[in-house]
Amino acid sequence: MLTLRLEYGDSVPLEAPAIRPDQFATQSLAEIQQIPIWKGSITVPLAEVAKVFGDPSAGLITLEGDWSRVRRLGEGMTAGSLRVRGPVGMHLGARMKGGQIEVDGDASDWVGAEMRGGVIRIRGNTGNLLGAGYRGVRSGMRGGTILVGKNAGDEVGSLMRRGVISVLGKTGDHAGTGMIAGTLALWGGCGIRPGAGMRRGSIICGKQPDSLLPSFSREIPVIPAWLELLAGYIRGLGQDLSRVKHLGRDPYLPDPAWNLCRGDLLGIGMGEILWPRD
Amino acid sequence: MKVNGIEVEDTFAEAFTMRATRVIVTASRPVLVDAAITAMTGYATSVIGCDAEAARESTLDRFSTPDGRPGASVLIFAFDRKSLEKAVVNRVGQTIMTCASTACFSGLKSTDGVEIRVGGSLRYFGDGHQISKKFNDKRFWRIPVMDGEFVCEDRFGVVSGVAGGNLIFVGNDPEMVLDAALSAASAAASVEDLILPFPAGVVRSGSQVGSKYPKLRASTNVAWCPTLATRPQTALLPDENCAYELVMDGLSREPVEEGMLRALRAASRFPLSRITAGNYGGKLGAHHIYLKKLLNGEE
Repeated sequence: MLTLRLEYGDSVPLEAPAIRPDQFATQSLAEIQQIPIWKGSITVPLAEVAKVFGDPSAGLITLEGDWSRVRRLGEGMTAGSLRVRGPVGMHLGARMKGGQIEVDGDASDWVGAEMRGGVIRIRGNTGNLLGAGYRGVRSGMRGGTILVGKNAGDEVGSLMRRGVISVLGKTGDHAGTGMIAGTLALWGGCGIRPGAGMRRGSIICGKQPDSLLPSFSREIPVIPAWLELLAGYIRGLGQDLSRVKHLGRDPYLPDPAWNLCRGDLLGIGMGEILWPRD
Repeated sequence: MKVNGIEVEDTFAEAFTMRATRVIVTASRPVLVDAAITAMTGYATSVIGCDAEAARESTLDRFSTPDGRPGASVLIFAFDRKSLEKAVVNRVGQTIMTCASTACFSGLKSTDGVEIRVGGSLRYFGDGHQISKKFNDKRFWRIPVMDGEFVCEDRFGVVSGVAGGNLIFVGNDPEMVLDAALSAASAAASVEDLILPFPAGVVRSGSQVGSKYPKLRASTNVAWCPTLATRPQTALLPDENCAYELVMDGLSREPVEEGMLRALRAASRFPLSRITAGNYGGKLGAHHIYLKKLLNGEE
């Protein structure tokens, strides 16, 4: 395991797309210490901002310290494991294709933006645009899974096309804007106007959304057998869903019903928003 | 060779390699699972005249099914991957999808990468309104139906199974031989990865290869018919008036052998005149399961 302990007190944010377990696995410790990290418009060697020690060959990196001003960690990674013991900055795991990222603290905006595969676990909160697409692109997240232990910001899953995002806490406004497909599970409920402009895909809300756009259908009562498949998948990745209402079947009660609204009917209207039916 | 004083002939059962899959069916209520399974496994006793051999393998509780609902598993066997796919797609489409509240999942993983496309074929029934969900590298199809959605896994794993393991129970009193056969079938059915595709697990119309009629692939097993005991082909001894056969299909050879052993032991508690097995001289099937070896293995 390779450990990077951040020793950086400057106010200028760093950009470190080169910190990737798949690339480090083929490099020596000396080479890793010299990889360039962007500091504003100049680059500095990694060893100048962090203490680097351990064995990189296992494809496992542990980051220690406050990485909240370091952006683009694990960007585009294809394999290996990146573990952050503390907060982390923007664009974590953006465009990643495989491997795992675990964050023991909070993460900033654009986590898993346009990701294609792999798993990102955030134990704390995340910022806005989780799994979204960057401005101007046609689709956001196209595969993989993001699990958030606490709350998420606005525009979660914007332009999402495939994959799964699961947020245990509350999610902000405009979740799933322009969603093309995929699954957005917002177990703690979400803010106003989820699914605006969505074409296909599923938004599962643990509570009735605060405000649903008028371009969504009436509430249709359903018993979605597939939700337990989703829940089983998420549980298998280690997220505890025991407090989520209407999940986990009681053998002595009828199967729980959910409300489903189709939308966005301004488009093709094949998307769906579900929440527990009381 | 004797077990519990009952003669066991030194012969072998001739079984065949067939392609097999396990289908898990769930529904909101156990009664609907039973109804769906009964329909699905109908007319599926022997590939001599059916598209597949199928039967319920076990009942599953809510904690053992992918969607947390009551369910059951069914094993289906056919000659090859293509005919298995056709049979499963037709049966799931016409008997599971049509039954209220059901869902259907693959119950095994292929060992050699061979799979059949079930949900992926049935999805077209959704007429473009079907929805795909992929979790854990498994794709599921949600097909809109009149009570909501029919959920079906895209691909089902296929393995090379062993079909046609058999035993023949022979005796004087037909009622007693039937009791022995039913008891043996019940004992064999408790083995995992194994089914007995015939009604109640017991066959009364065992067959021989070919017929005097050229179009028939199989005809009645003259050797074991008591009303033909005067024919030269008879295998019945003077005091033998009835024979029943057990046929079993397993996902591998081991469950077939285990099923035969349990059946043999269960039947040997009845006063049969002998227990034997059916074969075709060893020329047709790849698996020759010797009764003597089964019993020696037990010792």
